[in-house]
Amino acid sequence: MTKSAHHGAGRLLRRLVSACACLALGSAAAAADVDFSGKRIQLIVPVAAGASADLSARFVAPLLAERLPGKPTIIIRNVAGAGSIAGGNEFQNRARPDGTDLILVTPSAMLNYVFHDPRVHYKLNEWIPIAGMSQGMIVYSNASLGIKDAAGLVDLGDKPVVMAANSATGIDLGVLLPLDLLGVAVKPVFGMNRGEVYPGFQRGEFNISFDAYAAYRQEILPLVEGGTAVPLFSLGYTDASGAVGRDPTVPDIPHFLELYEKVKGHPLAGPEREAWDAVYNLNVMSTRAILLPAGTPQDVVDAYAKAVKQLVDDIQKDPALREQAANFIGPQPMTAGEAAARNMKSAVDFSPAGYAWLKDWLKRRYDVTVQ
Amino acid sequence: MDAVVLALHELLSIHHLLYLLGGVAVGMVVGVLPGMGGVAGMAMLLPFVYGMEKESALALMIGMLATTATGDTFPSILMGIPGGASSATVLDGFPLARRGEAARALSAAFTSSLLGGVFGSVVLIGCVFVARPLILAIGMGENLLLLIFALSMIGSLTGKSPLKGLAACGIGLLLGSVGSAPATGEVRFTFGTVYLSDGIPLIVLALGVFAIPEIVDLMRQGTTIASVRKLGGGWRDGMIDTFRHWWLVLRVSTIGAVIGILPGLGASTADWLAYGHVVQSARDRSKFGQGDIRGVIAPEAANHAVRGGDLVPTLFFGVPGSGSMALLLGAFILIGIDPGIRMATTELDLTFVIIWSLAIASVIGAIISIILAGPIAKLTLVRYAYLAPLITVLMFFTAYQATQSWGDLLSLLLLCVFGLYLKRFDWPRPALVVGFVLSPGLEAGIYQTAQVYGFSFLERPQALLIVALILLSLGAGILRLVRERRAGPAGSDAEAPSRRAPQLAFSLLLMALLGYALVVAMQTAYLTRLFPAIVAGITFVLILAVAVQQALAPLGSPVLTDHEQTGAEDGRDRPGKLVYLAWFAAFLALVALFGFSIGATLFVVAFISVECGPPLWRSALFGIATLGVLAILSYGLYLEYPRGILADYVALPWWLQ
Repeated sequence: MTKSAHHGAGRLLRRLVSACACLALGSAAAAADVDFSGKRIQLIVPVAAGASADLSARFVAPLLAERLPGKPTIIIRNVAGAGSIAGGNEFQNRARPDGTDLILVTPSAMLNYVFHDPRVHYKLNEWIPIAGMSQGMIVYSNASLGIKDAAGLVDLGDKPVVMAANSATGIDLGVLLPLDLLGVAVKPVFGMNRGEVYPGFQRGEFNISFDAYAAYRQEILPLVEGGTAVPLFSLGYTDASGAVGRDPTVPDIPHFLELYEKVKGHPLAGPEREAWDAVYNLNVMSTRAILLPAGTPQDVVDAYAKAVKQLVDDIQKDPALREQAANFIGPQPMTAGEAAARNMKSAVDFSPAGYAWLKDWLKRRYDVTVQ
Repeated sequence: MDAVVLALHELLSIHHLLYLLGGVAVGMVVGVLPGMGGVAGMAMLLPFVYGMEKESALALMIGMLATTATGDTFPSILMGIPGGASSATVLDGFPLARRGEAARALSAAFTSSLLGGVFGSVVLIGCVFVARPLILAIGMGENLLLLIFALSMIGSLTGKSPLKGLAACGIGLLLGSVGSAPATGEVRFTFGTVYLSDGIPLIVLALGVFAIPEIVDLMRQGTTIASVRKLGGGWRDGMIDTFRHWWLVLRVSTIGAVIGILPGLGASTADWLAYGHVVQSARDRSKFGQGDIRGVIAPEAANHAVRGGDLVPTLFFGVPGSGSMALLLGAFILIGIDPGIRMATTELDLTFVIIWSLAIASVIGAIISIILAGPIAKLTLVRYAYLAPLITVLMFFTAYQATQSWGDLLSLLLLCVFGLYLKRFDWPRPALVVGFVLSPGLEAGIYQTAQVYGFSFLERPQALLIVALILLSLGAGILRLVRERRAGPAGSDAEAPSRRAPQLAFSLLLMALLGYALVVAMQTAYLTRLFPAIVAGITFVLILAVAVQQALAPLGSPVLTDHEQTGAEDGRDRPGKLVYLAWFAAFLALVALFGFSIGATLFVVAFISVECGPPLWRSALFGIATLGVLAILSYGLYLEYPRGILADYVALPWWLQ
């Protein structure tokens, strides 16, 4: 605690100094001793080229590069495999702590870390987040399920609710868990890639599904307008005060906690609430993060923090860029430095009681054993 | 129809045409490097696309995507390196090159590419209006049945001993089930490694089972790739071959396009399934694997028709069927194209820019390649001792592109030992690879269809149609077997081996491995072990039957083939195979110490010095050339090579690590 407070104070001081320097010189020559001129920075992306996390990395990388001192080149290297474990391990073993190695982590990299997969050799908690991305998640049904809104979920009778998923311990957990808490008996079909889900949903093979907002807007909203898909609920979104409320991108539909309270008559509490909080943060508030390896010098971290902040501001200012960003990283602004660290920490830090409950739930529901 | 002409007019303006040519150039270069394909090309182009005009960006990207599968035909036919979309081309293309008919094989391949590419474009036009109903009609159940239909072709890939063929297919299915189980996410057969968690990459398997055994044979013979010192009929013959087999081109192009359209099948399987089809449908199959030109035409037409099909779900559904299509979708967002049904209505002009780009790029790529085919085919006249180390380096380079980890190199070394013995004892390797290719889809398809439909998918008319096809295919296979049996025992013309112990020992070893796999599988959850356990059990019984035959049959029987004992493998006076395996192992040891670039250089120098003797400057020259090419590739394409221990102690520039 004291250590991070000390860092915080140091950073504030440095920021003040650099702000003065900027004013005095009229240029952005901050963090003067950090210079990436002619350098080649490698960003490890632990998923295959073309996956949505990869596309967000490819969108951010050049924009970030031109805002770093010395305008280096950021090269993306896909090290896919074993649910992001291959990329994470590679980064842990190889990354040099001098600012020339970065990694983008995905929910599956975080989940495999959280679940202590024996193949994980990386220490996610020691890496330094410099940017975080958050994106609302929306659960919707096929019109063939015959419900008009989320309230209909509770009296489906014995109508089968079929959902495509990849695995119970991946990103799908974020939707399997709330549906189960609501008492919906979901029949999951595992081993599906996201690309196969959309046509399957349209064919009616799956009658409940979910998407992050960017994909929802592009692919599902036309179906909603055409009457073949029904939005049910969002996972919610945390506002500036730290409270979870309706997702501002879809304000017309309830968020999960709201729906739960309405259906059950009492708010979600106890260990399941603690488990839910972490799962929610993983799926919404910290869907992606860009990190530096442990031991990176503070001035390099600061240079990155400054560049990310600059990028966030520039995206807000430029409508065309903002539109692009909405497609690749979602409509919510990226978080920089400490805010990103806070979001990621709440995603990977399960309370002991919450973790024990989740572990038991996975075993009970899906016969999946985690450490 | 205005849109059609307008789009062509637009594209033919110098401005856009230049981008198209640029795309073709990138596609050919990326394609020539085996192991790199559309994904690498798209990743390279993506940063340049932002801010470009839509039409130019489309011309650039489609030009590249249309030609990656053209470039990789060169290493497939000339060096026997299955690098990507043209993997199955190796089976007959390389034997043709060895007969001195490389130019003919290349030009047949490129003519087929051209026709396949144009066919794909036509399919794309047809799909503008029917894509949606088509994709909605083919559900999970139909997808599964199509995979079973593909599997039913195995009957014709079995070679002279049907039992051995089926067992090889079973081994392929089992190898394909390595990694995480679709139903549970639990991993099996991975020995706790991260590398095997996603299964063995197809490229590594194809290299180990097909390429390396051929290369080792060549090394032992120590001559040139082309056994005759002339290049046979040139490019004209190849073109004539292709046009003579126009009906075949049409059929395999259809197969390719269908595989492309259905996102579940995976574009990388197109060449293998097309190869399976040509063997199944041929009246005379005796020449396949020894240089039948149809074995070149089929995969090449199919792997180019795939692109047109692949674009259908991408354009009209926003659903990518492959990695390169996923990146293309990202590029669409960057340049402001919204894939979906609009591409068939308000954005039709853009769709036609894509279709024309695909057709024109296929034609240009094929013509350039046909022109280059003659001169490049001369490579097969170079003394093999010079080429062998370079091809070895290229093969490990290719394998490393699969997942960029040391696992790729080590599995290649292991699989090549396996491949050498499969070849020696004449176990049908194409059947093994087709089983491998179909395995993940089959397992996932069976489980997922059962979850969603139970058996009710069989009530759908489109499903029944495919069931009828399966029955036809099986019936034809059985009929042929019966007829061949009646015609008398095949292979009696070949020289008979004198001993049966080595053949039998190999079968027993396979049985032991399968037994081990069964035991390991039993320790996992029910849905994790179900598929591999059933496959392993059936395969065990099949190999047991092979072993019984091997113990009892007369020595001339095809179950007892052993190329080492008979004259089918030349160069028995030269050092044994193990010597060359030791060279490969030594190469990897050098890489582990010094990193790939320097390790490869040392290996090339050492190999040429030993095989060709002095002068040392000649060996050094080859070594320096290797180093130069690897460094330039690494620098220009941002390629990462396997690192050695040296890099931990000495600060090397990244392109030398």
